[in-house]
Amino acid sequence: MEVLSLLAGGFVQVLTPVNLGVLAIGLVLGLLVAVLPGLTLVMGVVLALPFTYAMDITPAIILLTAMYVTGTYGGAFTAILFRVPGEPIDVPLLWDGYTMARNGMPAQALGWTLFAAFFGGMLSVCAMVALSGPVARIALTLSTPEYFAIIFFGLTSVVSLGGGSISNGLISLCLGLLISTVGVDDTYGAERFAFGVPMMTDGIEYLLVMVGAYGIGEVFTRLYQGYGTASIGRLGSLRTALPRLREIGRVKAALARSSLVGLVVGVVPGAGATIASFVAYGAEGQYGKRRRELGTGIPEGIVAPQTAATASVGGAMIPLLTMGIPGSGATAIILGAFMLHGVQPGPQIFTNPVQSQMVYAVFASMFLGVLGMCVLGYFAIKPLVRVLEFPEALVSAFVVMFCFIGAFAVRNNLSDLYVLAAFGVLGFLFDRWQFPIAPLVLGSILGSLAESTFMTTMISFDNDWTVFFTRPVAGAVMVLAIVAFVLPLIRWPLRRPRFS
Amino acid sequence: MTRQLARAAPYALLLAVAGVLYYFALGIDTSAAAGRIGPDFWPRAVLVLLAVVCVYELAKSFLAVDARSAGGMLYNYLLDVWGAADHAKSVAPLPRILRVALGVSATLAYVLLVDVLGFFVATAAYLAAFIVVGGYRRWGVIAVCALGGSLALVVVFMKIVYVSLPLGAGPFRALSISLLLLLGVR
Repeated sequence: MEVLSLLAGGFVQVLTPVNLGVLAIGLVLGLLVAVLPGLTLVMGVVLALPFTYAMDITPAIILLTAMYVTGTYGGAFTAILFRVPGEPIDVPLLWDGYTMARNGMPAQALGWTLFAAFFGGMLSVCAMVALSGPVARIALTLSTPEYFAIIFFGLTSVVSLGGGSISNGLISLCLGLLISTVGVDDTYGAERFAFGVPMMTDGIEYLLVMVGAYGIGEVFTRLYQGYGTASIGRLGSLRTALPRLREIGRVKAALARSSLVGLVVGVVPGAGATIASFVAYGAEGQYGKRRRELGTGIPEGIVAPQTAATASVGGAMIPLLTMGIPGSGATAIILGAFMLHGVQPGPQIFTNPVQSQMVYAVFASMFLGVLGMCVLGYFAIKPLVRVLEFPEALVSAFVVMFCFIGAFAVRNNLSDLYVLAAFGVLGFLFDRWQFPIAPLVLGSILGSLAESTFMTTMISFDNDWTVFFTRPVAGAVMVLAIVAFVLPLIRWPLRRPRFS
Repeated sequence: MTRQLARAAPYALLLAVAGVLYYFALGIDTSAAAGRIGPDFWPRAVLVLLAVVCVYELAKSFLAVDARSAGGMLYNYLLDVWGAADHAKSVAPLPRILRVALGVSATLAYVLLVDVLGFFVATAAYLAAFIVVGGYRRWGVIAVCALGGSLALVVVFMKIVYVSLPLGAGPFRALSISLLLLLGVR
């Protein structure tokens, strides 16, 4: 009951002109970003960050979360209609969504996507509201060994779930962890890797790593591939046909499975909507009743990835709000926005009356956001799809500028732009050499927290490292982390017997 | 052999970086630790892990023929560059690597010059340069985007969001201040 009354208070806060306006802007921007192939949802949230500096914290977080929610949905339009996935999340939609459209049922394919996004979004927001309070109460009882174990789990997951080479993932993670050690250390105040440069003594802001590697790096990658402009011609009688209740009943197993996958993958730090989307499609291929028909344009092939992608949003917000640990790239930026406004997410924000009001306002905005996203998706599909015709060279030039302004405004320090440009080049090289960027970014974000929890544990328990395994919660999470990391290592050489 | 060297190059570079950083990590002041794990432990542990993975990949580079590894990608990339050079005469747009080199150079030049030229001038020049490098050739649109876009960014960030953007030096500073007065930004 207490949760419901807090949520009602949240709705009252959101239903003010400023917050509603910000929510609407966030929804539109999120859809636009998702439609454009050169812009990922993480980049979109990065680009919106500088606009939040002058806002109060509630509208700032509402704007970013609205973009995050809609970013998991907008790319579906172009994936289904033109075989152009706006986001990596939308790649599984090509297999059944585009095929269904090519089979003469584009309206139905769009309808299934809309329904799946609505279902996954609403369910995950409900789960987030219901679970955040209890998880925060549990988090209050945890000590540094448990926190370290959770972070360790996140770091191993991002390497093992990231796909591609485990070695490259590990190298990327190590570089991220090293970046987080630059400057004065939290425990002893010793200077590390600063080389006498004042800017380095302050450390490297993880936002610079993130904006550089994801934002500018992606622009350079697209520049290398060659910018293009899609020609989408006449859209004719483009519309969305929602599925009937009877049809929904037939895919209820796929809905349940993919919602669960989305929520769980979202909660795991480091694994975001893209992984949720692929894992859900894979689960459908293994356990679905119509698994043999996947790829031929069946609703289950659309419902599974879209439901999971949108459901991952609520899941990713849970560790962010309750423990201050971001579950995805977008939540890492939202964490940055919280901190820029002087609020450290964690269990304490649920016990602080003012901050808990703000959190429930964000929850309420996410309910309205999912609803608004579907309304926009239903009625505004034609103008949204037209965005594809923007010349990519123009869009990319402005993306770089937004990245620069966003990075500069964090500390009003021009030296940060050098760091940003360097990470942009690194992001490009990572892409070319197939080093995943996510471990680098997550390492730079969680590195200092991982180190401080590790060091505090070692100091408190007289350098006894077995404490990570002998305490029940820490031990269970550490075992999970090791399993998550070792399993792909065992399968990996077996899968790739290419030694000459 | 070229293939194997190209495949090994990124890992060799990273191994060298790890070695150099490890050397610097040995010099971290550990006097405050007094018998406990010191501030050098964490970076050294990470560097050892980085070095081990690099050594493993280096060893693999001379045994495996998998083009999906980083080195394999570098090799393909070099082939790309050489291929692009071979066929440069037959390809109309800028070669890919040249395009990226120009884009990166423009970005670095912007970072270097924004403090001197001021945000408005530097941004207008950068937007125009980057759009041209990107292959767009409608000059009227480029001019409008560069000047209009730069002006719009100044208005949004200095008048609405209150970000203090660089004004430049000398005549460029005077220009920026005149522009801001014209826009009503104080």
